[in-house]
Amino acid sequence: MYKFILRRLIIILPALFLVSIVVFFTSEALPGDPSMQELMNRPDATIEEIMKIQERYNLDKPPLERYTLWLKGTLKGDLGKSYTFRTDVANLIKEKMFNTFFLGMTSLVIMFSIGIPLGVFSAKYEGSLFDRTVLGYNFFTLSVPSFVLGILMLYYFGYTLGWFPTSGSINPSVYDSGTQIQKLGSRIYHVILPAFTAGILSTTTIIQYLRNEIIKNKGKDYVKTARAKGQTENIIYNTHILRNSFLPISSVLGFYITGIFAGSVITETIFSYPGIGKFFLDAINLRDTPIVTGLVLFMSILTLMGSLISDILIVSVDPRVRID
Amino acid sequence: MLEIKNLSVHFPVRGGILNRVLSVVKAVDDLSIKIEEGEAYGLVGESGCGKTTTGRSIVGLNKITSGSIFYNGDEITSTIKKNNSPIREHIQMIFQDPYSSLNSQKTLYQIVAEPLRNFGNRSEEEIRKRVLEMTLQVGISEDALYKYPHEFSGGQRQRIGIARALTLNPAFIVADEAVSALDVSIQAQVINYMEEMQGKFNLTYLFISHDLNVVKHLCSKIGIMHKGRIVEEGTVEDIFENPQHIYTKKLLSSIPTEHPRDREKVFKFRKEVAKLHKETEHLFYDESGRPYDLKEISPTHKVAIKEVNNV
Amino acid sequence: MIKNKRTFFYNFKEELKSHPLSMFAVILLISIIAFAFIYSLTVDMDALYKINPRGRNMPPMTDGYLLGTDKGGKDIFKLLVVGVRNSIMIALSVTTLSSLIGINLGVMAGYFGGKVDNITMRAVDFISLLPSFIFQIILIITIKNYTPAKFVLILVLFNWIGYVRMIRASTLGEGQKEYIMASKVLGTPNYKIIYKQLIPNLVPLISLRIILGLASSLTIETGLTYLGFGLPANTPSIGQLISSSREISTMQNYPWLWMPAVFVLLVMMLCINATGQTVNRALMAKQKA
Repeated sequence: MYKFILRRLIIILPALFLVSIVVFFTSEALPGDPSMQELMNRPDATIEEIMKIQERYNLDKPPLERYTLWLKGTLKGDLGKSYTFRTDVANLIKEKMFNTFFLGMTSLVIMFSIGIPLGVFSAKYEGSLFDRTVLGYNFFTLSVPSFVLGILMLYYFGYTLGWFPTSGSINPSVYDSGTQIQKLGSRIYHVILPAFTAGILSTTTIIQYLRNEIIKNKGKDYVKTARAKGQTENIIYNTHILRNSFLPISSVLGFYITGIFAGSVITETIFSYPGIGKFFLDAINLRDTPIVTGLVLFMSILTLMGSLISDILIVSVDPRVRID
Repeated sequence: MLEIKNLSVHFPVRGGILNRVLSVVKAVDDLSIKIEEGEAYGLVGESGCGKTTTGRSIVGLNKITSGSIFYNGDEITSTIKKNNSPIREHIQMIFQDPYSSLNSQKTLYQIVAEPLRNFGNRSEEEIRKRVLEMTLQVGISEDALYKYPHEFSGGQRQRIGIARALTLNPAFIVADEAVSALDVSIQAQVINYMEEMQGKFNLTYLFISHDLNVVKHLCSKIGIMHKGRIVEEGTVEDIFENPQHIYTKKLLSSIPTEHPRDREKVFKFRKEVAKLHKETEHLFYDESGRPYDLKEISPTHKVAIKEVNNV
Repeated sequence: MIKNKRTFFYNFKEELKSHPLSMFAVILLISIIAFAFIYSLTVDMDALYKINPRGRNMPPMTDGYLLGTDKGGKDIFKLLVVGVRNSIMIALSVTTLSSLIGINLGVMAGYFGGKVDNITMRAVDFISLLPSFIFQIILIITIKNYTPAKFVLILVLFNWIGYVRMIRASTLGEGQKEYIMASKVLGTPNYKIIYKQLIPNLVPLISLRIILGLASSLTIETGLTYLGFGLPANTPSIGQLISSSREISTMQNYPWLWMPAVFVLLVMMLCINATGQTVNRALMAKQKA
């Protein structure tokens, strides 16, 4: 087991290194030079002032040196300074990270609380009207693009019906002067729509996996043996069938963690939810390279971690999966 | 006609963090066989003894670790690995599984015609004539030419496989468990066809099987294989009347008998063999479990034993 | 000549006949695509993009504008139809290129193994570790002289890996079968074995994957265009129309700008997936036979 984790980590390290190179040099190509910005704003700026700006952001050094400086800083936790906000990129990311994380966790809860019952019961009553409805729901949800669902939810529940807020992660007045409970309540209130959007779309995988696994296991010989031995139907169901059917879910979890941050870009933009997804887009539009570089590296690392966790989960939960 | 000299095929076993080679599985271990023209040589052994690997190495489907293969005196060890090597017009193969040895997407005509398109620059007319000829040879009628494999029975499919192997008029055929996947009654039918073909086209066979009974009927010489090596080689009489190696005896004793009267006899024989195995194992296998080299005990009979006077 | 009754296409037609809803979906999809392409030929692009200050933001069915006009006075119906055509063209291009690259590489990797396999899978593993959406955005921003062709290439860069894993796995399984070994012994050169013996056995699987690939390319393209990357603003597209909803006033007050596009996209996605499901069922039927 530890050998497996070790082997995966060894593979990931060079991948991380390569990713950092790719991230840095593609971001390098991003247009948006703050020293030129300054020149445009103040045409009468002196050469020294322009050079000072360049120096501040290490722009006067050759690319390789810039990369090494950046890499060294990153390993220490310093992702550079933002062009527009004049503060550390790392701090900015930290603030937004919490929001995205909150959104991700809430979506996960919704995904499981809707997906698992639907999957389990549609398999239990295979062929019934309920089952067929769930299958129809699944098909529909699979086909819907995420931003379509988001826009429609925002339009109906946000604007037309006014049931939920249409932007932000927390009510500003509550943020300033509310109690912890009030703050939590406001956060939940703001996160419901986007979390619901993201969560619903992910239920499809869970429902599919669960339903397929349970139906497959229902017909297996060990179930028939249990029945022949006189075991009650309920116990057969819960201990034998369900326990085995939940195994592939672990792979879903892993992929979900990986996908949280990619999907967040669209969902957060639609709902104007201030997480790192929306922050990424804002930074791109502001041509703020340090933020973009830092964010992309961060999100790449998260994706890598996600896939590692996914692999570990699958291997540890399902004894059938060979470690190759 | 065909000679295998010191053939070894080792498969690496990988493991560890860096996927290093930990050890090797010696599927074929220093094996030598000589097959004369017109002979039918039966290579017999249980699953995993390396006989299929040997057969596949001869036709170039396996990487050979060491050793050489000679055909009519010429070394073909390296040329047999190429798909389009001209040696293919001389050496061909019949496969085991009638359900996967024919491409389910192709018609009988396409299947049998395939080798003809690879060699000889034949015209479509010539190809059609030859395909028809071979199909009729194996007892399949002309109107089945455009049928798909799933429309034929297992026995018919094997016959199609035989027809396909014979289209290029090869002289040497490797039959890899050619009848093992068929029902017993069909087995007899297909073996009869193979005998017929052998007579008509003057073929030489390497017949690989795990079934001694089947081999008894078709083959003149038999080689018993165990743990990647030949442990006994001889004529049919040598092997069946005068088996020397304990593994041969084990194989013979496991043949079920259809006469209820003989049941007692066979049962006693099996027990004897098991006892003999325990007592004399050290004579036939060295400390690591590897069979010894073959030693001659008669012009036709060879046994893998430590010393000849132990016989 | 007796034809094989159990071919894939036969099964497919049978499945369509037994599920009228799927038949409807397939026909609807083909009609939408056909209509989009044919109608677009009649649209005068210059006239379409002329700003019409008097007719701004008109609701549907006024002045002969079927779906109304946008804030520049442009005819939404025409924008939508041409947009559908453009989006489909992009999705088709991306899918074609990705599948050509992905399937060929996947088959090579599975059939030959060794170095080819190693390099291909390393590349696939690496690219699949990157957050694709985000990298696509960055590439779009950084590429100079951005054109729709370059957009397609960027999408293909991340799309081809989706084909490789599946095809490679199938090739590995299929390549062990005896008919492949037989072809080698019979003297057939490797390229013929791959393209004439092996791939015909993978056609149903490939078809399914391509249909699903179309759906995903369409989603990705529309999503990127919605965010402002992707097709440029002067080209009609579904994403372009939907992006008008990013402005709060537009979303609330002028729903006819973005709702029809959303609706059409949804319908197309449903039809494509329904077709994919039918293909899948035809695939399953073959196993049963």
